[in-house]
Amino acid sequence: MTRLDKLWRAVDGPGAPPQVDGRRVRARVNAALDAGCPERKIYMKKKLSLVLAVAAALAIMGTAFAAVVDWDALTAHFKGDVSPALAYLDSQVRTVSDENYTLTVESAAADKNTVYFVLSVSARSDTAKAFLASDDFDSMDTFDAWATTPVGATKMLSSMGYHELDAETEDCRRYALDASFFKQLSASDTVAVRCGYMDEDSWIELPVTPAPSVTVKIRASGTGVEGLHCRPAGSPGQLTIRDITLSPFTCQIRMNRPNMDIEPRLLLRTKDGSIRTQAQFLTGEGGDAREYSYQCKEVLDLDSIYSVIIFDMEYPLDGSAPTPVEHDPSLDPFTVKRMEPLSEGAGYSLPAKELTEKLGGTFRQNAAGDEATCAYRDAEIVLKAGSRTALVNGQPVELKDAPAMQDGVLAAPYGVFVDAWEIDAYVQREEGERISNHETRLIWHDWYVIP
Amino acid sequence: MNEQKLIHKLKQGDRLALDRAMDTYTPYLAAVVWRALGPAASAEDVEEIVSDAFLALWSHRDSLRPDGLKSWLAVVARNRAIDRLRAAPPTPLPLDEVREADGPTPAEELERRLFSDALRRAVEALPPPDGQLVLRYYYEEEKLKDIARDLDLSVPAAKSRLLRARRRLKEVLVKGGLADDTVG
Repeated sequence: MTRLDKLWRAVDGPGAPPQVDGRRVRARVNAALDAGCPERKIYMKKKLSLVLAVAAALAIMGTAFAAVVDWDALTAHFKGDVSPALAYLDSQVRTVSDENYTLTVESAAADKNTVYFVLSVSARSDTAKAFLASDDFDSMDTFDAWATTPVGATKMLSSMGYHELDAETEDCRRYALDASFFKQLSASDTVAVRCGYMDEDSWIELPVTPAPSVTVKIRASGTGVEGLHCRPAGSPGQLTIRDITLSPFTCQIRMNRPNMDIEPRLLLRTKDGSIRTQAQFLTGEGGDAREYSYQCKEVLDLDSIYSVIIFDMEYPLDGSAPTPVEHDPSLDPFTVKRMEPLSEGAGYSLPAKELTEKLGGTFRQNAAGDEATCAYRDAEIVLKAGSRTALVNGQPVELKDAPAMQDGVLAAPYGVFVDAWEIDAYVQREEGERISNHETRLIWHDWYVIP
Repeated sequence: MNEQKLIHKLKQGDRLALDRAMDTYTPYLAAVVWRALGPAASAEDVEEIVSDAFLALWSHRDSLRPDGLKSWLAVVARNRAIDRLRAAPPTPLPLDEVREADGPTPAEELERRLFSDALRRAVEALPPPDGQLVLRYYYEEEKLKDIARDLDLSVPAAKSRLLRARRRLKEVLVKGGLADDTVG
């Protein structure tokens, strides 16, 4: 299955997407070039030699490049301190092999929605080694997972994501994989995971021990913000929240919203009184009009959280009565000017001073204005026009593009702010004049920033 | 193999490098050509033009600049697609045509192509950098870490934006009456 197939399915496309067959393109090109041409034989000989050379090199290198990074299912999926969830980490190593590969689940952790794995795939044959080392190994079919109840009922996979971890060896690749299911997992369920290139029956099964969660009843309506992809972003709209469930790994919101573009905005208050915004602690949402699911950026220590704040009401996790809270306008979304791109085709940039000051941070710059120190939350960013190296809390960070002076304003790539300050930022769009039967000119507006 | 190395190998007359170029750029070029030809174009039309672009690459390998292979291929493919449109615009699908065994009916084929066109337009209308992210990930099959690096995003942030964009695309298509309004 190609990625376009997956996108097509996700948007309920009819049948299969029209797409070209790469093999036919290759066949057509090679046939044209091979017509009366002696190159082909040389080419095939060279190709075979290359495969043999790769195999020989791999055999010589053996396991010299052993993995050294100590990833586990928590550190591979979550930033920061994972100790609040260590009790839910299953570190038992499990393996399954066929004639080509060995799949190893090194560790796993789960809540009722998602199972997180660190797993590795080792090649057991020369052919498998060559394929494992190729770009083609990473595809939509690389892994599969499912869950079963004690009576054998199946819980279907709703989504799966994976990314490769550093420190793979020449015959082994390591991955962080997350698998979510349509129905909630319970402690008696079993989850099975498989590498898609292995035999059909080469599954690793492991029992699920979901981390506990807390559900806060909300049963209130209020104002959400219109989705970031709408025109214009940030327009308010009504929605009703039924409840919010927090686990160390995910946040589930059950709600009713007449307009699916309207999204909730929630805050967490920790027991020490500090506030965490949605942009700070959540990522990767998905869902429908009735349920929304987010993954936490960091492991949530539920014992440290006092309440959820939504619609300017504070709902304690202990179930006690909600109380009104004063609205903090400094946490409301706002817009900043869209600057010129810093490079062709990308280079999205923000005005450093305007952004910092609208967030309520502090901004200092030198006399020429081409070097600036921007401080917000716990991070200080030092930027210099023309330099692709920024300092974040004194540590050098490589930027995609160098900041630049534009009409006396320091424009800097947005990524450094998003990462260091844990904010969300999008460029707003609006449709303008229709320029043909199919195309409508798009007008790009200012950045929409969510603290 | 990075682009400069690929060009170097092509200049040496290495057919493996051409194979690699086809593996790498076929999805991208197919997207470019389909966009230029419109929904009436068939997969065979697109394959032919993409193949021509790779044959042109092989013919002109000696004059390639050390960078910009992807954009060179895109220009060639798009120009050939425009030439094709001028010479013979794709004809609408005949609805009364007898379909191939197990294949879609002409009406189903038309629906697929119109949906494909609407999806592509919805992707292109996503705000930056999400439009590029979706195009490069789903249509051009680039590695997420490479796209994320180019767009100045972390991999988790890119993944998050892909999820959000996919949901948004479905909403746009549902509103346009093209997708089923169910949980997705």
